[in-house]
Amino acid sequence: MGSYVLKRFLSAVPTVIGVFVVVFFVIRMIPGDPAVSMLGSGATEAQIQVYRVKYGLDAPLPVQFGIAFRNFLTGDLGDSISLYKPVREAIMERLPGTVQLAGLGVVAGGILAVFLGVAAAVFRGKWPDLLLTSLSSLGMSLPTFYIGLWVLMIFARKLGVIPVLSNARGVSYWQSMFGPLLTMVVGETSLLTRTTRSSMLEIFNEDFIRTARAKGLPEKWVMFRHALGNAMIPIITVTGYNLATAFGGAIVLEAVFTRNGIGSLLIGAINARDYPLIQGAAVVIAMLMILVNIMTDIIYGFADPRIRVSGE
Amino acid sequence: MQRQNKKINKLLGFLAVFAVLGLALSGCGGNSAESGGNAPVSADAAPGGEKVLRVARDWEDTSWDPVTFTGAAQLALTPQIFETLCKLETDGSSSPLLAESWEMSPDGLAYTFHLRRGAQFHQGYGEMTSEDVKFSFERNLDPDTGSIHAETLNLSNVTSIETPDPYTVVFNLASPDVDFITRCSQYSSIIVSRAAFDAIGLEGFASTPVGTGPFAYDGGTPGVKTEAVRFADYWGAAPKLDRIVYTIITDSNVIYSAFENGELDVIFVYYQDKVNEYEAQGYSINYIPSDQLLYVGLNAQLDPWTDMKVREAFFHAVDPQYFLDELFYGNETFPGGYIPPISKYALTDYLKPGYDPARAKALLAEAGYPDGVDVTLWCVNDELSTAPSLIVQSQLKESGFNVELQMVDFGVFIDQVRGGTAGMWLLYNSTPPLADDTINRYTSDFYPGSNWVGVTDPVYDALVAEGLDASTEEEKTAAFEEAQRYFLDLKALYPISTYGYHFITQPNVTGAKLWGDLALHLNEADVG
Repeated sequence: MGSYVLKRFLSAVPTVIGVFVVVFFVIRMIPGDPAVSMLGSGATEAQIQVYRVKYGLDAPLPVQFGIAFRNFLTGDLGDSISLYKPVREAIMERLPGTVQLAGLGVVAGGILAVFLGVAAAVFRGKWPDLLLTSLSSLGMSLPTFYIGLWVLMIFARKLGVIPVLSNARGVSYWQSMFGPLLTMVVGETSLLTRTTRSSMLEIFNEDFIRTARAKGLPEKWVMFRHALGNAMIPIITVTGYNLATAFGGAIVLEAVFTRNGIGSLLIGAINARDYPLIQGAAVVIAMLMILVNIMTDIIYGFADPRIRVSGE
Repeated sequence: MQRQNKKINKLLGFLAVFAVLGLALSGCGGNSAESGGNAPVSADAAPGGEKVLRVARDWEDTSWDPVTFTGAAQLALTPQIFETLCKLETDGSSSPLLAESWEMSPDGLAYTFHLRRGAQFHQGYGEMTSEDVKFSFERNLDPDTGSIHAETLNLSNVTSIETPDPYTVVFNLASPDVDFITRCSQYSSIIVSRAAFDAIGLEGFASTPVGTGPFAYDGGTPGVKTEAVRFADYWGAAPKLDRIVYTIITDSNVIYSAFENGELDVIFVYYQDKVNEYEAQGYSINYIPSDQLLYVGLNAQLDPWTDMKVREAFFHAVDPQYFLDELFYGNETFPGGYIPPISKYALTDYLKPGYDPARAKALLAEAGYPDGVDVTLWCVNDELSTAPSLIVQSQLKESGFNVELQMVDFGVFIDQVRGGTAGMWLLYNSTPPLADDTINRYTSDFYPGSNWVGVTDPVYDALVAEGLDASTEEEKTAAFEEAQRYFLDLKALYPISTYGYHFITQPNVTGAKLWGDLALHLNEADVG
């Protein structure tokens, strides 16, 4: 297992480098000059030139790339043009909030979705099943920001149990997390509920389930040990996918719930054409996604030993 | 077995119902925006009876180093945290602030400021002295600071800054500058602490504002949130508020929700419909004419705008009255010039509306476009620019201009306009209290660059130079007004409307003032 994990991490290195190279050139293809964005519309050519020299933006693109790539290999993501601080520091200030939200959202959504999916499968064709599948379709089709606005409307405006501004003074951690977490759970639950349901239904028809029942095993045991255990592969796949997309979803939620995460950092960086910060944030998000994929593959091995054997 | 199955079914059924209720709750509910909503749980609670004012706006730049400020409201709390030598009053005059008095030498080549004693910097950085003043001005000449104020302050005209004692500063000028005191009253001449800079450096200055104002910075993140507390050692009258919490919220719907939920005390509203709604609900509505104008610029270096007849046709194709009535609901006026009326040297009664589509068509035909002409209008894809851009497109159509609309983000917009590839654009543009920079930017020296309209006219250049070199205010006014008349006759920029700001406060808020530069003045603000 150890060598497998090491291999996966090593195979991710070219991907991270690829992301760095692609992001470096793509962001520089977007029209918009960082110097003008920062200095405003009235800045003179002389002022803009001084700014470009200060941040190395006057150098030819290959030279800029060479410097940035060399620094990247040493773990230096450069200095933010708009925040006047090292990119690594700016990202580390904001990353924990985003990771917490995405992680908690996926875990909570995952647990709920598995229960709902199992329930829908057990009640196949009856009203709970119809209701759950209809609602999960609705949840999948609604954009995250729209769900977020409804959560604000209901829990902040109607019920008054959370504030609209989650970064206000005096707001507790869980008050600030409730809105974005609930929004994320609704989004994450929908797809996973459907996946769990269809996976469970497939397993219900397998011979070993009939055998287990024929042997007189308790139904709870059959359901959760035999059926759910064997339905886990697609569930893990979708959970991994949910976690990866949760980082993207967090960007939207941070705007709706005024949270200071890496999403709002990235949006500000794009508006300011802060190349080093965009670069750093994009690479970090890509690394998180790669990490999630590797973790998903490792968990496959635990859920199904046959995969672990073939992987090794 | 049968009983076991029933138990499991019951359990799962319960879970399903619970989940369905949860999902259903998230997908239903009434329109609480109209019903007022509940009080927040504990947002920005005021522990120990603290008087807290909570303000929100949808933007703020990310550096709090004053040398990088591109406007007075770069940091919305600027007037609370920072101070200048003199205070710029709303009528354009200057009054004492960190300088108690000043005098000009008889030849106009030296200004001596007598500093206020006992004005302390925040965070324990000591008393403000003449060395801090010298340091603050000279920082603008250091390329490492990224300062953009050297020209605004006309520092090339300052030959030396003397500090004969801790409370006296003398600025020696190469030639008389009739607006030197006004320059010392603008945000570009904020006085910062040398000791603070030595301690926290350039990076620290960008994230930790240290000034002498009535409120001291008390934590926050640039572009996200700032808190400021009443400064106990402030030299002037103590403010009534204990704390100001200022939050950046990019989504206007979230701002409205938080305000209606009682979580914000002061907000800015850009839409008249929303203003009317708040007025009906009993909130305090305040309107301030701003330093901005809505205008359409035409690049005289790009076809078809190189032809004066086409530019003249454009001036007849736009109906500013429609904007004033339908877009701004009678709050704004036709500016009559390209400098906002609140700026010094603004010419406000020269240009007259001349909406005449028939005349515009005839001029286009004379210019060789009898069947109309295809043009592109560039604008920023923000909420404010969309409606006026669509109106311009629709009005121009009547006169034979077939307008393709390019709505892009600000970075792309400025790249196109500044790079000289956009022939026509719409923008809200601000002018500092002293109009020198805006009048000067359309001279040949700034093309290409900030002279987006591409006018390179020696007569205009000469008139502006005459104004900048004038030794009396009368001479400067005469030269600048003539320059503005001349520029407007070149028809490269059409000012459509003045533009003001609405700021809305909760009924218990008193004394909060917004100035035309969008900077909040909260020295006298209170929450009842």
